[in-house]
Amino acid sequence: MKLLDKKLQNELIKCTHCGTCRTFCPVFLYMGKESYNTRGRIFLLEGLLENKLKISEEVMDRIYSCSMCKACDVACPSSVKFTKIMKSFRSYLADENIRPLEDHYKMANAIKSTGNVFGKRIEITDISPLVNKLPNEAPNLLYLGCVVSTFYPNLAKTMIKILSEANYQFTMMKDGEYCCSSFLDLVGLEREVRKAHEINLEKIKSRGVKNVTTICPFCYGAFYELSKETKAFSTQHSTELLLELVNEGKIKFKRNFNATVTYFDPCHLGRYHKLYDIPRNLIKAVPGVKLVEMEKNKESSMCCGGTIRVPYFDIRSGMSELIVKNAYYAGAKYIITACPSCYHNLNTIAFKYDLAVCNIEELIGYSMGNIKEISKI
Amino acid sequence: MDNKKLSLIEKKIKEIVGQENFSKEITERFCYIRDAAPIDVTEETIPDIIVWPRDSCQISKIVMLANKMLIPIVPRGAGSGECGGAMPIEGGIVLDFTFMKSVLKIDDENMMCLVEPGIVCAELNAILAKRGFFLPPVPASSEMATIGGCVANNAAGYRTVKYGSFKNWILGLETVLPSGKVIWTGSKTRKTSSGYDLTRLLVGSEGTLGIFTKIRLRIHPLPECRRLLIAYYNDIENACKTVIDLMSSNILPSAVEIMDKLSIEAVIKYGIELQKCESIVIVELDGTENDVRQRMKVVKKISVEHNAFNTHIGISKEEIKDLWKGRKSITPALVAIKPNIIDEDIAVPVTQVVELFKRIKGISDELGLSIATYGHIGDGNLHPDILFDKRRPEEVDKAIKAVEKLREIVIELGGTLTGEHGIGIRRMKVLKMEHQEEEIEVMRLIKNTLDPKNIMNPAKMI
Repeated sequence: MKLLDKKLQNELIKCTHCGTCRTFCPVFLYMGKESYNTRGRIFLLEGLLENKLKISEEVMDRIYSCSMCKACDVACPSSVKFTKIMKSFRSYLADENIRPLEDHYKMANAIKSTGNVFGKRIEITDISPLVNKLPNEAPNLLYLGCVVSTFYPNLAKTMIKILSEANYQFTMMKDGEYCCSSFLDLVGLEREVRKAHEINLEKIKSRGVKNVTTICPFCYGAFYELSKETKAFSTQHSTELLLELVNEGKIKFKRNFNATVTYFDPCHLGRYHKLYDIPRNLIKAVPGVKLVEMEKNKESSMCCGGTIRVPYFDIRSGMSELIVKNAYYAGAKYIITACPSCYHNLNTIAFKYDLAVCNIEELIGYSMGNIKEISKI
Repeated sequence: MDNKKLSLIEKKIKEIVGQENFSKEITERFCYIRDAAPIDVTEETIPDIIVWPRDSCQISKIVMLANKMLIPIVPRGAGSGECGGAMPIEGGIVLDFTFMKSVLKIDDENMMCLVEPGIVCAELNAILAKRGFFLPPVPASSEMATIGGCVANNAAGYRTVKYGSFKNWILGLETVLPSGKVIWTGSKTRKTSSGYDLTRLLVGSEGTLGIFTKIRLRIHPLPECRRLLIAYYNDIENACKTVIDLMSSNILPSAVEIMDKLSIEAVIKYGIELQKCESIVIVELDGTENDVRQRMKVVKKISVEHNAFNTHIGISKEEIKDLWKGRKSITPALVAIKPNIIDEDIAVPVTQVVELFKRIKGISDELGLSIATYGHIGDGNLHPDILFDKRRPEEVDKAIKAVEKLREIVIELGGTLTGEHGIGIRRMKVLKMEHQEEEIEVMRLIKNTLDPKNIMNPAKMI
């Protein structure tokens, strides 16, 4: 395998080194050093391609500290698709057994042995008594994902309750979920991605599922790709499904949520799949809510750093803080997000600014009267 | 730099700025080899050290050290310049201003502000806008370019036709001289006749005479209203004649831009809605609403008199944004046609633009290269973008030849080789095309007097 195939070398060639990415790359906005910016990473790739640089620990650090958020892709005046380049290069490193990082291998091995990126075998049936009541086969499937099932079972419970109350016919992977593959894809472990896809496709087919709904945007992306490839089912993010149910009158709001909120666009929902308005319309449907925008929103929204939390914990925290500050200056009291990873990362910082973070499903559940209060860590 | 010298300076600089603001890692240094200079700038050297200073005191100490040890120093803002001005071609220390980006003061009543050089133009304008002000020179790179870099290059942009370039907006500069001494130039007043105008000397000096550490800028109240007219033509001559008439009238437009056929075709192909034609002129007016409305009628009349076959006026913010879209999408649109561009930056007296367009077409036909020309025609500043593919050596040769021919024509027409991008490395060798040897000698004397050891951004400008 070549370091970069011809097509991606041609993509790289389009870069004029203008530096527009400095204004948008959230890793650079926190780090402030050129090697942590997209243009810097392009210089490094050019150096490797031209044999002026060798693969080193430091170069690898810059390669894997890119959060793959696509902020640079969207902003680039020359339309360089840097995320594609980076993904391909990471695949090359994995294929040649050069990388990924040690922590990434640990997570990949955890998936192999438990199906869960955090290495915890999760019994889906333990999450809510409602799960056992669900049919074993149904046209629709609710997929929780590793973050929700491991760390936020209450969020899963809320979502299951919302869907049950709305008389939505669905099933879940009661025998256990297998990682959606998005983490493996981000670190370039393509063989493992294919394996995860095979397992998940079998689980979907065996349940007669025609539509998969995910809470997590990463899972959404993985299933979206799998559905595009196999045409065996369709994929929906929870915000799409919930807005449909609201519009059909199947979700009824019983109480106001009187607060000024802002919506943070998760990269894998926004820039990756252009789902900007649906989550906003869903939030606006909740009575009492006043939605304000952060200065950097939609296409130019920042990234919480969730994809690089391991092992770049400090960078992740710095990136999340930039978002929380933005929300604070926008005058919001709550940051609503549609991604459990963003929720996790922003929640560790928001208290410093006297802000709370809330998952969009929680907001809906609260207004339906399903949960007493918006949960806080 | 030899290892002994490097370890000595490493120790001293770390004492000044702290370990975290110093790097000699190859991974970091490699990212500072180039700025946005295109392929015709071939000189490349990896700098020895990268430093992220935090204040003028640190910079002064570092410069003193560099002066004593004869180490080149290259100040760098966003590295968005297109002439290699931030390229450390003799190695040495790169001073990266990313962390010196504070707005120190905004004085609404005296309409001025004091900033550190690392603040990005668009960020400063966003802050000023909240208080009803703006900094009028808007280079195309304002989204990433720093104020320090803009001052060093005397940057300009599309509003220069009314408001002038950066040099018209600088009241004073705190500058670290190549000796390490810190001086303040200029005054807090809007005018001064006191002494030599060192501020004007330093603006546009591209980091060769000193390093700006604080910048005092004039600011302007935001206009009550902005409107835009876009006029379509079946030829380029009438478009140019419209502009000549506009500029000599009392209209005082805040932007007058042109796009030629190739630029128009490229942006249409790129997905922007524009009418297919030979040329487009865009005119922006600002001021009070009544005044703008009246003046816009005259702009339309002049355009129609010169056979504009269609005109459209944008009134709302959204309409204006839509009408600007075509002009602002030229670069990505051209890159979609050919992967590489040499963006030239020539300016001629406005009456010569018709001839200039003819000659550019001549170069394009002769070399068989596509050249898309657009730019700030109101002040005669055009950007002929030479399109090529750097993987094809014959195209690279032709592109470089086109640049040479273009330069000869510009001088013949009484123009300048750079309206707003500067000299850097890219135009250093051709400076003599535009300036007499005696004039260059005066420049050299100034440089030698201020920087006798030639440590400040060496091998640039002259």
